[in-house]
Amino acid sequence: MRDQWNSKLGFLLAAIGSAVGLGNIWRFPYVAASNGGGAFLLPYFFAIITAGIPILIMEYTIGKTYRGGAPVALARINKKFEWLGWFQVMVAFLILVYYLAIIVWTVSYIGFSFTQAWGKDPTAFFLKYLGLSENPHTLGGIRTNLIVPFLGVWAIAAVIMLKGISKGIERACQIALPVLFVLIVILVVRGLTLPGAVDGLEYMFKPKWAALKDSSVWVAAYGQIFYSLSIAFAIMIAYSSYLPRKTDVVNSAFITATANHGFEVFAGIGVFSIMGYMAFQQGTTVEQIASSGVGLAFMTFPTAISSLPALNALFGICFFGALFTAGITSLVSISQAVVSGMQDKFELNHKKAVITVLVPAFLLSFLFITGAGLHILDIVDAFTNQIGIAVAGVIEVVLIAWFFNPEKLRKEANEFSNFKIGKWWTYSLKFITVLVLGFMSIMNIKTFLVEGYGEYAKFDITLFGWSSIAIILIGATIFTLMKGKPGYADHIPSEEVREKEAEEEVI
Amino acid sequence: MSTSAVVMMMIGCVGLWGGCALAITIAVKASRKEKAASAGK
Repeated sequence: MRDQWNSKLGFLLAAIGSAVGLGNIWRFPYVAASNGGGAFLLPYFFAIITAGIPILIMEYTIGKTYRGGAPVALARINKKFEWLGWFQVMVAFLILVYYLAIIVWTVSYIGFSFTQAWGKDPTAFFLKYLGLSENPHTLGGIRTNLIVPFLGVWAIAAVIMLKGISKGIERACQIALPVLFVLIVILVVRGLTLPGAVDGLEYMFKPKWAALKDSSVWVAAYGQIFYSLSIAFAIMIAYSSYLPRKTDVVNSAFITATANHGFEVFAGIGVFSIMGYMAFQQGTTVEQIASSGVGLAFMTFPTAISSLPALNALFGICFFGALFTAGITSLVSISQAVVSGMQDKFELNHKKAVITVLVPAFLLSFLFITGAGLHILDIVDAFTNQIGIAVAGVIEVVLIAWFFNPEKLRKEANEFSNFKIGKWWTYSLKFITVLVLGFMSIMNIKTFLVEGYGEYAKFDITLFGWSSIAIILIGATIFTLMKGKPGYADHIPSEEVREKEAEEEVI
Repeated sequence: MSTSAVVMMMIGCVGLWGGCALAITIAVKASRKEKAASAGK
């Protein structure tokens, strides 16, 4: 019998936990501030309504109706669609491998926070901590100082995954989400009560309406929604496949999206009020201080933590604890996307499927705790996200909206939903989402082909960037061609089975 | 902090968290109604 969420709340906390990740804290605030400030909220809300929620509803409905990981669920819709499922699973597998390394750093920095071990020069400290080599192809050996947290994070992930959906992921998210929320509230309250905080908030929320004339701002809004919601890389299809059929997916999608994006706006208030304080402290402007990604978390924020008037250790632990919590709930969801893919096509029980996925991921992830780890992570992350996920999203929406029957999915979605979605859902998917995501994917591919990425040499971009895409394509093809268990794709549960399931207790 | 910045910040927070609270309220009400209906069977 297939595992199932104990409650709808459990499912929602897991889905929100998956969506709320490191990007909500260290990417959104900077993207908003540098794309029109408060004015960015307009395209941002528009993208939530025309892309974020529609794709979530689509994926939740596919998962709970066709009841399998992405490859099997899509194969049950149309055997030719199975390859896309494996493409998404391969993207998830690559992200799993490097995402863990960042969580390892957050664990170390929780420890460093006790004494603000980073000292006067957090940037130099971070680079020394990583043992960063000069370039991506100079590995510089495995960093022994990372081994203990590395094995610790892998152990936590393995325990959660081996316990399965209801006893593992659901329970972990029921603990982690409230903890994450409390940590962020502490940071926001601390931030708001610092001198200079209003300058940070002014920088983030002051609307620069002229920016809305620039198409890149709208693409940035769609990109933020798209990457922030864990859509189009097999996670939400896998998670919703463990729901009983008689579940309201429309409202679940609204709750997941509004909670995820509400969290990132709230975290942005915390981040930018602390940036405002730093600018006030250093007698400079917020614009000079503002940064994002790894630089914000491990270079800018340690400086801010050290310069706080009191309780520095506490706020350091809160910040890196929040990154860790947000990261681990996303990590297990990415792992589950791959595990579900394997388990539902091949003759593997849950334990075997978890081991089949985590062992190779564990071995590969050593690459990201070498001296070149950050370099390689930066390139692989850019390519898997800006090409892998973007292309997967476009293909998914095109296949479902144009080559399947979205009205059938809309009927299935509405059947057990508190409020019905109208035809706007179909048109949003068919036209707006396809156009914007298509344009975004083409722009990303063109940029990488013409300009490369970052300051990296062409050799390194080919070795780690384009080869990541090749691994995804080859892997997807191999797994599609491999023989699965009999009838894995031939049917969706017959009416009798679905009627029996419909009798299940409503969660 | 300028009024426009405060307004946009409020729109961001209230719009999203308000939307979330509304969706949760609908879900809880529907869940209770469903359970009452199945208990009544």
